[in-house]
Amino acid sequence: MKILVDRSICSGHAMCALKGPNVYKLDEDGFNISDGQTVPPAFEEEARRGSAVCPEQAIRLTEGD
Amino acid sequence: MAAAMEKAIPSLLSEGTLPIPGHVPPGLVFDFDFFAGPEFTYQPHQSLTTELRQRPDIFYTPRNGGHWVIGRMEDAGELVQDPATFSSNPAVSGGAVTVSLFKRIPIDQDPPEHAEYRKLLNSMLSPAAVRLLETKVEAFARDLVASVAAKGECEFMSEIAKRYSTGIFIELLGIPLELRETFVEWVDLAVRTADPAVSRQAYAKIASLMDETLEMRRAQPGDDLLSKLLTKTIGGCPLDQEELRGIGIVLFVGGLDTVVSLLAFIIQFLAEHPDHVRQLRAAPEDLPNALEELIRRNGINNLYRHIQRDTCFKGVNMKAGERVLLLYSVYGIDDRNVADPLTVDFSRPVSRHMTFGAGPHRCLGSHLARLELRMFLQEWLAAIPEFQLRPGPKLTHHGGKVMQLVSLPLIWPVATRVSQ
Repeated sequence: MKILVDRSICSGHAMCALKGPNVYKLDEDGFNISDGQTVPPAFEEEARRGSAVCPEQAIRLTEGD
Repeated sequence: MAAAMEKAIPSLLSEGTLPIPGHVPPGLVFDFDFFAGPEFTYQPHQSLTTELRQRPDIFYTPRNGGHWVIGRMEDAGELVQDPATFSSNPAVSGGAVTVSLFKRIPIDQDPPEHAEYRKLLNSMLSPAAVRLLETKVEAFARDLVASVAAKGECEFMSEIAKRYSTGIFIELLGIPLELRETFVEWVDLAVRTADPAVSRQAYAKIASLMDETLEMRRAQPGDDLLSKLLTKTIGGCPLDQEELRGIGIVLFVGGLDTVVSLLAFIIQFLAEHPDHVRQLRAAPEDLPNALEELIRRNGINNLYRHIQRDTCFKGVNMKAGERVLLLYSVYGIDDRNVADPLTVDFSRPVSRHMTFGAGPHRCLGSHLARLELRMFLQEWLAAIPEFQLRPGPKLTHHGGKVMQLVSLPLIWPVATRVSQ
């Protein structure tokens, strides 16, 4: 599973990191900087929750790999 | 209540006092007054979620000068990503309260200008910056709760909610605490009145206080937010007086009234749901997630966007100069976004909402607000584990841009002390 973040619409809610603390990294202002990262299999559920909670729907996950 | 409102529509429109633009189809016109309508003044979340399900997703109301209403979360999410059409600048629609007085930075700005100012402000209220305030906020919450705990009762709005957020905010700006009650009054007038003249006057008072405070910080900088602001630059230049004032006002209005509203809605909910209180107390480590669910259920803000060019949004024709109202207060309880939306369920895997808005204008203070709410609940539940509404008249609300309880009387059992 890979993380795709549309940084042009990420607005720094930081909710992804609340739901997926082991998956999503934030910059110093609270914006997602995990675009392109691979999710370790153990944290895939966390990744899904972090994506689902985003008010902007800025996070897509590619299944597989 | 719904029936009474349906009946009111034909008479309202036939009076002819509220003009409806010719391009608005009659089937999209409804009587919706977000300042004073009955759905906003009593149990607003319950009433609004019922009403919005019976309306088209987007409709027009002739109330409050006439505006469109965006009833659904997904449409709002799309709309805020198109500032070239839906501007944040009230000058676009002409009739705004604040025009010609000052520009509220960054609220009234559009990209690309907005992004520069926003970047500068983000760093002052980022999750990391806010984390440094944790001990201070926690102590502030503990002291305030202790001030009422032994009484067994309080009027939550005046004795707690307004003092809490105002006190924290005043400290952040380094303004003397004795001005707290004056501030509460000005903010009430600025944001809660539908009368532009009254609102303008209150904003003017806030503006002149900002000017005075900035002057003091220039002479003697401290470690407060305004002193930090004086050191910031845009394109290598320090901010000018008008910009500083605009930002100061936004911090002031944004930081005081909103946390008051959200905190009071949450405490009201908990007072009416003792089982939820027990769940929170049983799992304090899960408070941040539980709090998101409470925030989802209890949104507060309704804000305009101003249409810059004729557009067809979701099949609805809108004209330049018109306004759309975003109901951030209820997008978290949109039944297309979440099942059984009015139920607070701490075991939901996610609580998606727009209580702090969406898009580039996402609430700047959201991280601070979450900290304030979390610390408050932690301290309140530790000191006052069981509480309920004082039996009495039904609770009523102010509508408007920030929905708020008028008063919230609470009672709780107090342990009798055994005297030795």
